[in-house]
Amino acid sequence: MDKRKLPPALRLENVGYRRDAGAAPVLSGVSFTVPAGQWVAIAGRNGSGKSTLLRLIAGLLPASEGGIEAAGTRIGPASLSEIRRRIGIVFANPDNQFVGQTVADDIAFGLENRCLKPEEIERRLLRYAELLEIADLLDRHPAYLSGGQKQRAAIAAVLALEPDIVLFDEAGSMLDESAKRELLAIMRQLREAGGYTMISVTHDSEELLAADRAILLANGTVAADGLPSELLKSERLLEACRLQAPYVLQVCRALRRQGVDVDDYLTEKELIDALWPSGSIMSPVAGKERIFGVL
Amino acid sequence: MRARIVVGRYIETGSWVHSLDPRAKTTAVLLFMAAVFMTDSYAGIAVLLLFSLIYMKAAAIPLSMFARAIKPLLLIILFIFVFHLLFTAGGSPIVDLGLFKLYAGGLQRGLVAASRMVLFVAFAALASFTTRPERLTQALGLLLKPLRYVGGSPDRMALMVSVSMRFIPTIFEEAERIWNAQVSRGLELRGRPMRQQARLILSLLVPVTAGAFRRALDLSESMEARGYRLGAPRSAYRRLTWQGKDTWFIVSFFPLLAAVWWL
Repeated sequence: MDKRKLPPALRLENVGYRRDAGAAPVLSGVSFTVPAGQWVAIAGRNGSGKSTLLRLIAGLLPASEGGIEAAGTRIGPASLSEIRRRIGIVFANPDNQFVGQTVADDIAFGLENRCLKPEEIERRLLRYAELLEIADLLDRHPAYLSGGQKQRAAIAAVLALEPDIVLFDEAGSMLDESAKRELLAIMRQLREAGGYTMISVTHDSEELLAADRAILLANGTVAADGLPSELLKSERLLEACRLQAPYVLQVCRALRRQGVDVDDYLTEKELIDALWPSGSIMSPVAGKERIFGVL
Repeated sequence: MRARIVVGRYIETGSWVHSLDPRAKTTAVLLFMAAVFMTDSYAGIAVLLLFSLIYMKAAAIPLSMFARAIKPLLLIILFIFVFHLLFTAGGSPIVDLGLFKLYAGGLQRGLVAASRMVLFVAFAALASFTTRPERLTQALGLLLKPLRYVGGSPDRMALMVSVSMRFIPTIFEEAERIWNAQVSRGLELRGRPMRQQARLILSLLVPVTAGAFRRALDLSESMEARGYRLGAPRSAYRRLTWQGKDTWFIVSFFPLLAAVWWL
């Protein structure tokens, strides 16, 4: 993936949102800046305002207070078509985002809205179908695809628009475990390919861990903003956001409860290096005999 | 459930009927419909049947598929037949049932009206079986274009048809899931009075309708996020090409119309 000359960035200043004038705020005083190319994962309890925040960024809802600048353009009624060019969004339920009666038609839908020529539509369609490994599914009806295939098709439809910023609104929440892993791999590939600024709303601590930065929302405000590896070690924040600790961290804590002297780690490699410092399985740390009870 | 859905089904056989321009097939359905409504005799029905069978054979689609397309409408077709049989007088009386007298004219009207319905559904199914749904809706959008001059919105209508067809399998699937959930909780239609059956079916319709509204809202967000604006100009990925065989296909309907008119 080569494109992107523009330096996309996102800036939110004191953003607030109320459904109605007198209603309680869903979001208030949300401010943060996302440098171009960064992957930010947003987590929080149900009702904390995550998806609303994403809709504000995508220009699908108007902010009640403050302002959002996306890819150098302030979001407002006058700039919506520009925002649509710069920002793509992948929704939670892949079933409900298909317009076309075939995968090809669905990918082409957004490109037709931009009045692109059929040759250009065809070029992008094939390119992103190849990239998402769905080239053999182009003539299929979306209803007859698996959950993972549907989400791949939905991502292809968004990427074909060549946005600078890609938003994922709990894109893995309706997928089974293997499809979730596939999705996470795709998101990692996109980050590694460079050029995309990604904002993903998630309940999945593994996805949070894969991101460059994590923002935790609580009651419509930013409760924490920092490195995922640091935030995920805070039991208080995990509890506040109703997040499950990553698997390796859970193993570390279970080992400690069993009396094994081990710190909190987030990756398997860190944990293995800590348990067998010399790289040899024959030189264990104290309490190693209890490890297998935990695993 | 999916296998039972025949509406909007495309069946690839590679026949020349499949290769016709969808605009030609949509126009053909309209011409066939005109012929069907001009018919009022057994001879006319026989001609229409023969004509349809020729194109069904050419499309290489098994007749059983057409029967499946007609099956859901059997009750309506039966109703049309019985209605004419009971209430259309004319010709010589056949049977006297006391309250109703059945006439030969009523029997003929009933048979002709039922046959018209069967023929029309079968021919519309032929167009659907031989044309990809997205092409059919594209053709519909193009054919409806003149409506623009009288304040209509052909693009909106074509999109409505396209989205409806897109969601048929999804909503059927959801209905089946809700039905199974209710059956697993003891729902049983058999042996209940009609009134109760209607109430239970309503309990299925409410969540399916609510689900359809939710899907519609999600879909509108997805469309908006991808830059769709009602009435805004759009390009078309798929281009349709009219060939000589499409003209000949349409021309073949004129002798049919003449024959039906004459008979």
